Amino acid sequence: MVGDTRTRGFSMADPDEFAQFVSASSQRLFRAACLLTGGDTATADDLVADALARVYLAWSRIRSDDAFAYARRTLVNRHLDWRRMLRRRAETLTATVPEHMARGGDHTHDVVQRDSVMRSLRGLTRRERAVVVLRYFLDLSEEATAAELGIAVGTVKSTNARALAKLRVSPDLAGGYRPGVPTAFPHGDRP
Amino acid sequence: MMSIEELRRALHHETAGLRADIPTARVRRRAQGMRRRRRGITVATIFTLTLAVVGGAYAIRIKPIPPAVTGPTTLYYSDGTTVLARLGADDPPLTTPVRLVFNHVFDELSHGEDSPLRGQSWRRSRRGGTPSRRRSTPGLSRCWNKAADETVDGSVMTGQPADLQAAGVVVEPGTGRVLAYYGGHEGLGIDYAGFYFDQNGEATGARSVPAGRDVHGLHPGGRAEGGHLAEVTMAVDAARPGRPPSGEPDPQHEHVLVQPAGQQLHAAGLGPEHAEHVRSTTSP
Repeated sequence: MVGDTRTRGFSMADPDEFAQFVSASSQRLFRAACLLTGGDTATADDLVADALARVYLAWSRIRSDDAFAYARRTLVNRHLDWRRMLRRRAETLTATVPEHMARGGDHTHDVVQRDSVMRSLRGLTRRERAVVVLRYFLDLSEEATAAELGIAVGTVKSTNARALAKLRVSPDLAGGYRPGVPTAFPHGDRP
Repeated sequence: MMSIEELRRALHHETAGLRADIPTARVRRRAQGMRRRRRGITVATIFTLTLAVVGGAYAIRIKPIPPAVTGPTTLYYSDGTTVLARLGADDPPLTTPVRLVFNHVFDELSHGEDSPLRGQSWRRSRRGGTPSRRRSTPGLSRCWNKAADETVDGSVMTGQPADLQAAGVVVEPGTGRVLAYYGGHEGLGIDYAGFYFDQNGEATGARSVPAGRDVHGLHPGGRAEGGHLAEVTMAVDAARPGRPPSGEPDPQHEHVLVQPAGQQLHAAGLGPEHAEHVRSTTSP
């Protein structure tokens, strides 16, 4: 049948339509993944690619719905997947730095600031990080966060409260956040 | 202290410079790999299950089928060594008086609260080769035998007419265990063991005729019409060997039934109070 993209029970996504979706959503997903992984951009890249691949496989079902929500949920669930945690115990060495710096100017302060924010996030548990990212980066309500994570709203509230308490006493963010101004240096000295 | 707004701003600001390098082609390749893995897992699962089924079938085929347990059920005295009788699944249930005891035993086994065979059919109990221990007490049985044997001094049968027979069984109150049994004169008489509750819970007795025994239902109240019975109460000396171990209830059925020999007997000779007692002690 002309135009039928379904083959052997497997739904192939429309290339152009899916490419547009990837282009529009990958940056936001990647930023969320970076926060979820506490600044591990290589793992974040892998998480996003994994989530998008699953979106690709389910494209015929979700294209008419909120595909980004599906991708977001897949991303967070993969982040919380215990099997991935086991696999990720091994350290991964990369030849090149995968992250891309913002263009222009001296980015030293940005890097230090980002490191301090990410290090503060790394002090949280996976679920606490997921709640913080969903609530304050992806701007979901408590109810939506609970539905996204498959937990109770009360659990979201308590987890969120614990996460915020940890962040507030984090030495990296103790002085508050001021964009462009480093709040702390990783090893006590300016890089 | 960082506020919520500051945190929100920090999360957005500090990730603003991050750029993802995720081309669509890479996503497609990964998706195809996932699809292959899924299919591979499915195929592997089907293959494994098939192997398991085939292997299981083969194992079942080559596994020797254990022969059906057809050994007779053995009734022991309480010492565990002296065999009172054996009864196989295909043996007629009521051919000799001693086998009537089995019906008591099966009654206990199928109704007793602590019985491992509770709710099990009698036929299965008989087929299962189940050893039933502590069902009869040798000392108590000897006591019974002496009491019912007219040739023994002190027997309640001494001096009785020659056409009278004695028989009896001692059932432990509360548990219904058969503690002692006497099959009657020369082992052919009718006794308490001729009365039991069958698999349907019906009181059943045996009728003694020269040609053998027939099972029939007891008359309500435990006594069939036309019976010609006499009942003699005897006392069992508690100090004699065979008394139940300390702590167990004393046997209550110290009765000997006597009946005219050679005459048709219609019932086991239990009065209503005995039937009720047996029912209360043997039924769950």
